[in-house]
Amino acid sequence: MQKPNSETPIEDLLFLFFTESETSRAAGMQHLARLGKRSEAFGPDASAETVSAQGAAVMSWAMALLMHA
Amino acid sequence: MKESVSNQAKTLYVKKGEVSYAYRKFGKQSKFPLVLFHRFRATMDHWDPDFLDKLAQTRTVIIFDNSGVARSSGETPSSVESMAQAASDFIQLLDYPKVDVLGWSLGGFIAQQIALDRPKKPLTSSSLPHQALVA
Repeated sequence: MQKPNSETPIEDLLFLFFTESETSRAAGMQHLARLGKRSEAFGPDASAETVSAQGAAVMSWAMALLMHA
Repeated sequence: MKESVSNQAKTLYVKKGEVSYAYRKFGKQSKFPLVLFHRFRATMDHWDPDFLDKLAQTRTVIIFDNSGVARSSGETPSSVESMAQAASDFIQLLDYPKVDVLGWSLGGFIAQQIALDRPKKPLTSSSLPHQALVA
């Protein structure tokens, strides 16, 4: 199984939130199929600036957890 | 097929200072709404409509884009603490005496931060990607 890589968003989502079993991957694909049914869905996506700021927030949160572990 | 209540909800906006927050509200009328915080890289469109509709059967559900994300204006802060502050600002604009919060991944961090900052017995829930430490 492939590790997250921004070039493969579907594989990333399955990797992060579902297991490797066929049942779980199928549930992941069904979940994806249910998204975006709104006509205006995903008008704007999260921008590169947003993703970068969120990444920094996640890293400092994780570092704080490690410091207290 | 039955129409999805979450998919039918209109996108609304509330503003505080420089930030216009995009949100949707739907579901059964309830005294306290359940406010959901989206995950890393996501927008409110990434919530599974089946999940939202299930929650909406028993209570009012509110989803939103946090500051700087997708349909909301302003900047995306680079700390969970500031994201929690932005989320609290949004919640205050909703004018409920109390809300329950639930977050997915990064949204779960924000929910926990709000529980620390505003300990009024909120419901918090967090899900960590099962292989997050491998990545």
